[in-house]
Amino acid sequence: MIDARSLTKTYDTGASEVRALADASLQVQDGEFVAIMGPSGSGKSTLMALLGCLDTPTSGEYVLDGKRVSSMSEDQLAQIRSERIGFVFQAFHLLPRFSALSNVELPLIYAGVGAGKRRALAEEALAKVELVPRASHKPSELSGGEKQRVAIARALVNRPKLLLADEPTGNLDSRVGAEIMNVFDRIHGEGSTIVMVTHDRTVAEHAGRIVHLKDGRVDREEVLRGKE
Amino acid sequence: MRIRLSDTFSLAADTLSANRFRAALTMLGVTIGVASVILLVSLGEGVKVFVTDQFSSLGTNVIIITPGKAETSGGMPLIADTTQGLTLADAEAVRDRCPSLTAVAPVCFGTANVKFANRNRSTLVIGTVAEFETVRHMHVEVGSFLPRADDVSEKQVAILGRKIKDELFPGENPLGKRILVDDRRFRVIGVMQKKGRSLGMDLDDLIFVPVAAAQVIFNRDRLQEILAHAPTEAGLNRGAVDAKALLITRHDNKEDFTVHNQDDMMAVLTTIMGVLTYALAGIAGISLLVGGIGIMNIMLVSVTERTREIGIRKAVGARKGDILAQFLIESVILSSAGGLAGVLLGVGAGQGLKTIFPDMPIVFPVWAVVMAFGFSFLVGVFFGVYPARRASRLDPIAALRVE
Ligand SMILES: Nc1ncnc2c1ncn2[C@@H]1O[C@H](COP(=O)(O)OP(=O)(O)OP(=O)(O)O)[C@@H](O)[C@H]1O
Ligand SMILES: [Mg+2]
Repeated sequence: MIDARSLTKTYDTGASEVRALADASLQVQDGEFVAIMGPSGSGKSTLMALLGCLDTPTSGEYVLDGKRVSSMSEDQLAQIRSERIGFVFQAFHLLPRFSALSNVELPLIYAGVGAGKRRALAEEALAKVELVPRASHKPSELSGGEKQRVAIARALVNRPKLLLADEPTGNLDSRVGAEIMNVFDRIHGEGSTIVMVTHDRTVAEHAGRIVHLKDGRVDREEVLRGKE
Repeated sequence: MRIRLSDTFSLAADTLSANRFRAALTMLGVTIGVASVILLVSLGEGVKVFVTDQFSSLGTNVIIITPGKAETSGGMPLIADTTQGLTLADAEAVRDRCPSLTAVAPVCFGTANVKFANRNRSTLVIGTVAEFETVRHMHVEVGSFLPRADDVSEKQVAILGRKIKDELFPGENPLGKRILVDDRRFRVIGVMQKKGRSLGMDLDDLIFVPVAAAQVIFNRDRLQEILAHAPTEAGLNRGAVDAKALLITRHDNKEDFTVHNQDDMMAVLTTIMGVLTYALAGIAGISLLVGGIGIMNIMLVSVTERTREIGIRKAVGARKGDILAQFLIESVILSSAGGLAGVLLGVGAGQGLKTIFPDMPIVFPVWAVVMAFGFSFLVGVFFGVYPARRASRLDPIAALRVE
């Protein structure tokens, strides 16, 4: 599914260059659930942005699902995001003026799906995160856990092959975080490939493998027994 | 697959309606611009139509021959006595020898005192011939106009303008009555139809007498002008050339007269007014541009405010073009809605003026309405492109990081 080799990402901040990623390589198989851990500033979010085709590497090769993504144009990347990737953010990133249902529909608009079908698919996705009763609520009328479930539904609505989550429980207390992780487990059980960043060891242990980043490199990998 | 156009439209409309007051204020600039363009063009066109009507009420395809050369030529100014003036014989020659001119009317006029019983009034006395009726489109209501030149039965006849009839013969039948024009007796044989005012002249406050009689009244043997008419423009142009050549020979090879083409004069006038109208409309158009700048300003603010939204949309698969279209359509909706409101306001204000001042010449040319609206649409595109491009070029990661 994911074959990333020697990815580097350098930010030019005018005065100095920041090397957020230095030679990071990562392989993820179809159907795997991988957690990424590492100290703050180690390049986790940077790596996720590259894996999610939100950004392009300064150097290195990235092949996603058989496609060489690292050399694609902006619009081609948008197409990949639209068709193959679902993204869950720590800060939820919902559109405040839209209802939960409309937020979930959003990716389908850019996939060119008609209004009727959009609604049906969005309701289906909301059902997966058990949020149908809140469909008409605006984000401001939802709790943190509910917001993140809407965001997960939005990430799932296109039936992506790859689900990326950057600290999905980072803004939630541990009880709500556990609920969210149950949702991830269920999605993983249905066959999705998941890559998730977290600072929380118990959250990371839902995955089958933990990749530790340090200073923009993969420091070590840890395969969790009994999860395979 | 790409995003559907209808979805882009509803997205844009949705965003605008969430900020209704701001949208309305932004539109106002364009609305005022479009309304003032339409109002000014309508007034200008109205005045043009008004002037054209005034001229054509004096007959079309008319040439006017006046004594003296209008153009200044180089060299020493010629001495006045080289000008012979125009005579009745000149007019008759033009009538007989320029076949393309179907009606030729010598004119000698002046102001004289007209009297009946104890009522008298100073008025314009026009001495001319029967053909005047054809040239100037002025007709009698009762009785008859001047007799034809070959009818020598009676020379002291007069036809009264509507106003003179009302002043001298209130409620009476003037036909056959004798009036005094500067102490000369004339028999009334007709009353003119009401004609109203044209180019500042009251066409009802006058009387007609045979040209020879007028020359006697005003004690002059020359004419002020010779009018001639041809049914077609080509005939008129040929007639003008013929008459000019003929008169030059008759005047010892001197061109001491001028042939005016009334339609040319009108064309010059309408051109001047056209230029004025466009200049005014152009100035009003500048306010449209100002409205456009207002739209650009608001769209730029909107892009900044919605940076995170743009980041989210891009993260879930929006292409550059999708974002560009969304913002561009927003600004075009703003400007077009503003333009539509401007059309309604401009036409409404014009109709209002027309109701309050019925004499005000206001004509709404379809082209001006279409153009003003089309221009407002283009303003939306032009001033929307820059903000929309900015929105579409935002980097999704950077956009998402904005609080
Ligand atoms: N746009 C940017 N411009 C400059 N430097 C950046 C930019 N984005 C990230 N960085 C730097 O790159 C490094 C890696 O950042 P990144 O966000 O990937 O860390 P992280 O591992 O996700 O940290 P955290 O756990 O705090 O979220 C940091 O030192 C950060 O300051
Ligand atoms: Mg991070």
